[in-house]
Amino acid sequence: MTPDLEQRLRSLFAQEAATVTRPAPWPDSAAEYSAPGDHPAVIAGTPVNGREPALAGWPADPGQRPSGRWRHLVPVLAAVAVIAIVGTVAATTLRPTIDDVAVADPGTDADREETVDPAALLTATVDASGGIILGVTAGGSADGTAASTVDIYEDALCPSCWEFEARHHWAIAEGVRDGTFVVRYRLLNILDGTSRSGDYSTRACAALLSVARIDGARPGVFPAFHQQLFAARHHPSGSPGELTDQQLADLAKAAGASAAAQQAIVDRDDYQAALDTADGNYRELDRLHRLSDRRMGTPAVVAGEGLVDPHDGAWLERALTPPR
Amino acid sequence: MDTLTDVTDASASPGLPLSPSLRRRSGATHDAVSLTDFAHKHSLALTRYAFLLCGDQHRAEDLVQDAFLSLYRRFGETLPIAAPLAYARKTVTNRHLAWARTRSSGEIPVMEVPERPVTPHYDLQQEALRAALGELPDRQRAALVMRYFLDLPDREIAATLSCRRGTVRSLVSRALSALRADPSIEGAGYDA
Repeated sequence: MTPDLEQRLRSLFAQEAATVTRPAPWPDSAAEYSAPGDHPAVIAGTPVNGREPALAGWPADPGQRPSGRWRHLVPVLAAVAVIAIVGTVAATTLRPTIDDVAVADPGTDADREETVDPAALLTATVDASGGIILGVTAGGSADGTAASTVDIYEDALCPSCWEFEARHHWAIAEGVRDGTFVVRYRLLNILDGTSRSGDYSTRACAALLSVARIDGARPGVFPAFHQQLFAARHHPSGSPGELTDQQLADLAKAAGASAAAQQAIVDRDDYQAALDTADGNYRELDRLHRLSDRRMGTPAVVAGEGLVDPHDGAWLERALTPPR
Repeated sequence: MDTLTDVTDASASPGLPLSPSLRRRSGATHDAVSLTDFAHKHSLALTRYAFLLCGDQHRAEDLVQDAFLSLYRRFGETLPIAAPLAYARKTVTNRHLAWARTRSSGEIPVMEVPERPVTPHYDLQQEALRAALGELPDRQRAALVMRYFLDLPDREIAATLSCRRGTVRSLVSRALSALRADPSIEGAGYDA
């Protein structure tokens, strides 16, 4: 019978260790050390005993180096300074670009006349596959027989999606209100791994599902929550931040969601549904990308059977042009 | 043979800025041990320990020299701490792990591993086990060496690796599982 693994490890380690012999330059007897300077551990040119303290405030005890805490202070301060500089630069360069497009977009939103957000009229329903369909109640001109459906694939942690929403949410809401098309949001969780909690995209998707499921029939609630969730200001500049469940619920409350919906977010009632729908949406999006020559990414806009470029300012027109 | 397990052999001087694990042991006050004696007494055992960590005698000697140097720079010629051996072992371990983290830039991958000289004690099974140990993550291997070569209790291993005892158990357990799952190690499996 073979000896067990632990026993074999012991004998292997002992056998290996025995191959190491005393290094040649080390004297065999302690008596051969004549002075501290001859100590094998002392490298030439590093006088330590009796040296002056390097900085005021450090211990003057000869031979004692400043404690680890102080020794690491300088690199830590340097790192903090670098982070502060990078953060400032990022805040001044990145933020305006996102905010600017939100308020004044030279493209699709330039000619809008209304001051009432068209999204205030929109309702939401959840379809069997977890897609969230924007609809209208009385007040809009849509009759429920819109010509085409536009699928918008988004991940709540995707900065491009934030920008996309900031740029186009008005035009999207107008189109839905006027019955030009139906919008179906299909949420993904491909960026879960980049969040600190590891599942922010899924949690955000679950929160959107909860609000759509519970408060979808109340005009304006879901669109407002969705818009807030994708507002870049909730995420620290530079790196995608994330919200806690409670913060998600607070955001829903601010958008007008009911207490039941807020509770559902905190309780993660739709978490499993979010996982399922995100999985299905990913597979569908993957299939569509395989059929096209476009690189996989979010946001993705699908009209009819094909992908259209969401970064193209005229994507709505393109989305609505029937494929030839 | 001198070993690395006599962690409480040395003196103590309470009040020095030490890690909690070292300070806890410094209950009694003894005469401070001289670094010279300490180095002479433990250099071989420390080098053997370092060799099992890194598999390279020259690097092992460097690691131990570095540990003695940092002891000297911190305390001078006398070591007023309760467990200088634990301190030195921790230094060796930390430096090895830090070096291992960065060595990917210095290591050159080859298509075929160069042949090793066959030792008189050549044993195919031991060789396979040795190779499998080399594949383990460094912290796992360090935990195995401390447990099965130094026979340290989990408490000491945890102090050396700066982790909790549960982490030590999980490191060892994962390492053993990996070795047992290795098909080249005959008879290591549970069903052997």
